[in-house]
Amino acid sequence: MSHRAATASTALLVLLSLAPAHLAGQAPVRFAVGATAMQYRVHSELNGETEALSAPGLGFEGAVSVWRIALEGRYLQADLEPSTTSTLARDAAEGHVLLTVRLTPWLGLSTGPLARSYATTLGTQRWVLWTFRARGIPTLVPDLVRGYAELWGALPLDVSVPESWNSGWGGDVGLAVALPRLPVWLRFSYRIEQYRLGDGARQETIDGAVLSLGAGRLW
Amino acid sequence: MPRRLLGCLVLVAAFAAPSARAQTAAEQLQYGIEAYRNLELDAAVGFLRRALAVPAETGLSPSERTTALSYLGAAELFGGRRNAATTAFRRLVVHDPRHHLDAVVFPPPVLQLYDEVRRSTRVVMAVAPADTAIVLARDTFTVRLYAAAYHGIRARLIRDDGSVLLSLYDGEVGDSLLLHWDGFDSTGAPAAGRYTLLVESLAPNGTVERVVHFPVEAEVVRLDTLPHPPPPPDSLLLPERQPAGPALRSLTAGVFLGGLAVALPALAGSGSQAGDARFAVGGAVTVAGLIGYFKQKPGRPLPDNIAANQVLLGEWRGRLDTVVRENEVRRDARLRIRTGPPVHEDLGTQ
Repeated sequence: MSHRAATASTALLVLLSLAPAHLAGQAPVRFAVGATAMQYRVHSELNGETEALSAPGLGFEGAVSVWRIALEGRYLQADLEPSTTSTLARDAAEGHVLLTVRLTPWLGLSTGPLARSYATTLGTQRWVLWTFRARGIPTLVPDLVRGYAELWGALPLDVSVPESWNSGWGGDVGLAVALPRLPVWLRFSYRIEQYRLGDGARQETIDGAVLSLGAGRLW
Repeated sequence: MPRRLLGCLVLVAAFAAPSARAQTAAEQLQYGIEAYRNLELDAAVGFLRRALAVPAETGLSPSERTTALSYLGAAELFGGRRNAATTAFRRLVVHDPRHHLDAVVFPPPVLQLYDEVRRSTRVVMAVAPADTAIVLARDTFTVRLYAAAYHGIRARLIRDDGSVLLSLYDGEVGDSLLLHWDGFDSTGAPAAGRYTLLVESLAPNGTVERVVHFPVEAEVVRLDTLPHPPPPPDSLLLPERQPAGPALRSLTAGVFLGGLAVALPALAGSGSQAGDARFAVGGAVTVAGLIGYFKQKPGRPLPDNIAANQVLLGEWRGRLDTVVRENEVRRDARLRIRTGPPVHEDLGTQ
């Protein structure tokens, strides 16, 4: 079911990219690369037991855009330290790839896989999800600052936990500064993801502030 | 000796007659001048008369005709035919009243006779544009008259039926005179039609000695006025003051996204577990929205747009002024006036 949804959403975005749009004046091909830092916080609840871990995460991201279609990716890892007792430290690594179509200059739709792993001394837990995202980038300060809000839902592709999947969603809200004459950008946002499994027996929450600094043209 | 030479020339001319007929008027003129310089005066008179006898269409040009008459008068004078010389010089004065003989070429007796003839020949030459147009009530049609001697003239526009349309001048003329016609008849109406401009040279007793006349065809022309260029449509004009929309959109987006950043965990039902970084993000986004609002504050003048609109409106005003000026010219009725070649008539009273 999730695989079908992934295929269907990708096909839908490809079709949407063929619809007429008014994005005149944009360069035909744009690149953007950047470094990402995140205050990575994980909050896990399982059968009433709570585990909290946090650490600064570091990674990178990039995007290539052709006309109104963009292919975006991000990788991030963090050595999470527990802040609750009887919790094992985890090495977290995550990445996503997104196919994005901009429907208007300020609204885009994305879909693509999100993979995350938690490595502990006891083993590795995998979370491979397919996400469907809507992104708004309204202008806050003309030619300088844009707002940034992304909400998404997730379906499991390969989640190595025994509980059955209930729901998954995420959000990323912040702002992006793009200098008008220099191909330099900065993004500052707050991100949160939450997954419920086993009829509420397991709840995973990841959140934190994300700061990205990069070169190229974001939009 | 001259008689013997003359006889030879006559014989030569008789035998050479067929070839002489084939000679052009210009060649006859050259032969005449050469004969005059060689003091072969009778031959010179013969060549020059033949050159002048060729019809104007195929004959001498006006300047060649002037030259031929000058040499003919001189040859006749030195040939002892003073009356014939006077006649030749009178033809020359009628042909070109402004002409003066070259004192280097011709000796004083010739110059003296020519001046006597010129002073006594009452004639004018009329020079008018062949095709022109005047704006009625503003411009005038001008004919320049050149006179050989001070005398009285009468200039009138004559209808085809012989009646006088308008008297243009009645008085004395010295060296030259300008005749002006405003294009109206004596009743003040535009004088469209076919006329003859007649200039009569008068003897002291008031009789007409010579006339010069040429056809005048006048036609009233009215041009349609041009439509004014439409002003640039509002869609091309940029707003000159900052509209409220962008500022409010920035403010709304900033406040909404700032609130969303703060409320995201609560929306997910996990507000107690969320980090405090969302407040920093929410505050930053809200502040950015406020900055955007004040940067685009409604009512603020937009100099770039004002300048662009002024350029656009300036171009339109330039086109409008051009059309207005052109229409002012076109609104005035014009009289197109065409003239024919002047014709001299000697009434033979002198």
